[in-house]
Amino acid sequence: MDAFPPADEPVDPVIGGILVQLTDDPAERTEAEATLRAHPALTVGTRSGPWLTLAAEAVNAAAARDLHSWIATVRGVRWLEVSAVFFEGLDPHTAPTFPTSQVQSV
Amino acid sequence: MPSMNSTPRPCSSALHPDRRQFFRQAALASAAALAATRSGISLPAQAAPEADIRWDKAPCRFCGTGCHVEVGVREGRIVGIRGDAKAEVNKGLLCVKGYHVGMILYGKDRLTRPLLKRNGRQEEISWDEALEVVAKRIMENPASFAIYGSGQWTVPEGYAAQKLMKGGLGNNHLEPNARLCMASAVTGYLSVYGVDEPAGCYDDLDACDVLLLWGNNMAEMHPVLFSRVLERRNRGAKITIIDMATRRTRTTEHADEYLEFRPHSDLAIANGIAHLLLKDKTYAREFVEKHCAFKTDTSEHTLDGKPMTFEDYAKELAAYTPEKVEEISGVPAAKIRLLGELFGRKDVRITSVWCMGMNQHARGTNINRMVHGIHLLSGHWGRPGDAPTSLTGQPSACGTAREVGTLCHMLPGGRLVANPEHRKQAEAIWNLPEGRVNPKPGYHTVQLFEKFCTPTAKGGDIRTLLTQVTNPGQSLPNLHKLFEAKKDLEDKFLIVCDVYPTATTALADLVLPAAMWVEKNGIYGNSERRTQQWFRMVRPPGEARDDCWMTIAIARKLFELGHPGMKDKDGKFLFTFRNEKGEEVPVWQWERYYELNVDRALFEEYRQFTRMKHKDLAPYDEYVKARGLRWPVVQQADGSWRETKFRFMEFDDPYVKKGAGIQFYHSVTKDDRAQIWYAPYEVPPEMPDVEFPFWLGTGRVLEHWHTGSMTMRVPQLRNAVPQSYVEMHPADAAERGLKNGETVKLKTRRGELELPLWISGRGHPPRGQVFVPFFDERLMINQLTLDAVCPVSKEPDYKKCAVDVQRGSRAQAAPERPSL
Ligand code: SF4
Repeated sequence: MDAFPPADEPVDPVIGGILVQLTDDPAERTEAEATLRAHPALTVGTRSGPWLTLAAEAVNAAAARDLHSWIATVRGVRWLEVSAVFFEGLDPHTAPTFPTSQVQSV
Repeated sequence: MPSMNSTPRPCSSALHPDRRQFFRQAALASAAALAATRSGISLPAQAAPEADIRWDKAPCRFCGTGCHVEVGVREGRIVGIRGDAKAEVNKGLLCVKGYHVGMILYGKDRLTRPLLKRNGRQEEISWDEALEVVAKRIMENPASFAIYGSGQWTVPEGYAAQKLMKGGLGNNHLEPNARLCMASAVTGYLSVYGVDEPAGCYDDLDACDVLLLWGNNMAEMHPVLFSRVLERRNRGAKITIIDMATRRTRTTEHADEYLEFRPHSDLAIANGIAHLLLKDKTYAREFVEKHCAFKTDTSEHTLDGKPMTFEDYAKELAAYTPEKVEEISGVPAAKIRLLGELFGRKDVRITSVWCMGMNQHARGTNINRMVHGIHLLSGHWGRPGDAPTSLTGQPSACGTAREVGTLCHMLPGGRLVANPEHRKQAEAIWNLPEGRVNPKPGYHTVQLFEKFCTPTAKGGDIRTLLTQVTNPGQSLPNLHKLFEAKKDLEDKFLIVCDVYPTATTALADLVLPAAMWVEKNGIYGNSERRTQQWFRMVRPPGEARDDCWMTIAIARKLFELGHPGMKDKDGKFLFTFRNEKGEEVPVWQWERYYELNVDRALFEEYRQFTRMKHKDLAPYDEYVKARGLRWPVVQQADGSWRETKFRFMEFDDPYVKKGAGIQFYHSVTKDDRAQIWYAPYEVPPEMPDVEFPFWLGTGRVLEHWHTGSMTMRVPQLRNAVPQSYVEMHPADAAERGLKNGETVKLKTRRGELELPLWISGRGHPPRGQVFVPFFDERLMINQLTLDAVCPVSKEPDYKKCAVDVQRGSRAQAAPERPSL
């Protein structure tokens, strides 16, 4: 167990594409876009009518879920969907190793 | 302003700012593309970085749901994953594992060279030496060789192993790990309908009014399917979800009714429902008279059982009053009545689903039979949304284990080794001399490992075992007995083909490094009879190679060493392939393996078997175009290929006679009838007692797949649930003075294990029960589990045994806490 890196060890983030559908109210749409822009883990892309694209960074599944849940609570957001996840930063030379302490030859 | 608790933590330097920007742009472009799919609106992407990324389709590597992903490859590496919007299964959606599936290739301890154990150390050797070692071991005693494969084998991989063993060596010691997860569903379907696999499909989830979960934590185990149901609800559909389970899970959070039953007592509940249907006369009399017959289990517990009359069936059920069922199961009689009334209604459509809860069960075949029986008896069968449907755990448990027939008693296409006619059919397709296929079934999984772990002198007649795409050193039950006992047996030889070091490679005498998922061509078959194809997209690392190639290369070595079974009746090598010009291609030479598409060649040969039991598959190239097709796939007059969503139903299944409405055309009684089975409630083989006062159940969690050998190497998934734990009821913990997070010792008759306690965590067992997931190779709960099997399916019961819980001997641990 000691060989395990701690859960909060810095790792490369995954970057997710998110499609947001905003509500019909123009004022709410503007407010939602501004709120999302202010979040440091989000990059806001283009908007057309109720549709807004986002790129979101998260370091683990729990952070991604928190972020997902938070976006869903933003006033003016009706619905959101993950479109893709990118992760090239994880490469064989930096990826944490699974502990092999119990899997050596006997 | 809402909390921003998800602000990213510092990142390692590996992701260069330019790259980060590139992927942000790619992420935005993917969202714009999704907008086009969802709404038809074209959102301009700010840049077009996707031009650098090549996207191709593949089924997800993990569970039996069989979602389709699109894999983004750039400069020979996977850089992105997106849900495939063209796929009917998931319509663009993936679960957290699916979104991270591309990362499983890039753990830094990938196996890249063959390793042979010499003087207690695993040393690198060449592939040629490795193949020589394997072939010589087999040649020494071909009858004592066995292959243990997987429901994660691709269809061609399983088919090649099948042909090598049964067609080449005349040896039936071939098993898939699906014996551990799906065998009871198979024997259930066979004894009820005479043919394996669900009649319905996922479309039932879109049409049902009631979703009844039989011990199935669908929210975590088949999350995309569960989302499909929840999405209907979000759109305003009225769907009642009934969660029948032995502990509260994430699924329970969405359920309208939660019925908590004592382990094993689902048998009594099923009988209780049938009892009420008869007592209240709400059973579907006309349907039953026209389409059903009755059978009962016997003390010999055979697949065929014994016919019984309707009157005898009713007599047997008379004892299962709601009050009696409450006494056995703990479910209030009023709730049993609720189930009985529900099945008695004609105005609702009911879909039952299950997975390991019913299959990993010492009476797994019987509970499978009985759930089908309730649907048949009540007439909740034969319309979309009215269906009993098993879900699979592995991505190709159906495609490779069940359809290719990689079980010790089967041949491809539902053929049986014990049937002379079936052997003849296989010998004809494989062009073998008559009598090559051995009529005697091989050892089932638990027997196979017992024989491998028993000294040869004491009857342990499996001496060399090759495993592919599976990790039995962690997933078998009662590991000390069924796996670790091999350690001291000098004359036993374990060959492990895998992608990472595991508990199985740790005991291996020879390790063969394997390619995984989109590092090779492949075909899977998911839970709903959907056959799915993909192409190789990236190269495997180092000298890792395809499992299918390994099988063919081993066969070739045997051919060169003179094993007569490696020749067909014309003296040709069993795996002879020709290119379009008709020239033979020596695909056993790795450099030439991809000169032709071996998957296509093997698949086209295998297809001939599939028509023998109306499981027709289309030509390979049809699957290249599709996001999977559900069999039987039958050619139409215009030359196109049509899949079948609902079997045995005239409106969709082309094999049903005109005018029949419903026809069970593989009926075991040869009269187009399905069998409604009676079986009594019986006590499980091990129950809590004074010495071992708790029930122990085991299973999975959302973030990890099976033994964690892939998902534990994805930091995002590993960090979410970094280690195993034991769930316990707070009152039981308080009674023992145990605190959340402290190390406790679990002890069964088979072993003991210390691990952290998680009270009020993700799952909530009732008093008297504990639950432990099996994904963590450092905390292997299967050292404690029971190896008792269902007498018909031979599938072990991982869901219940007796355990004691005490304070651990180690100092209070500070376990890495899984996130909720
Ligand atoms: S539900 Fe299963 S198949 Fe679908 S993305 Fe998740 S793990 Fe993969």
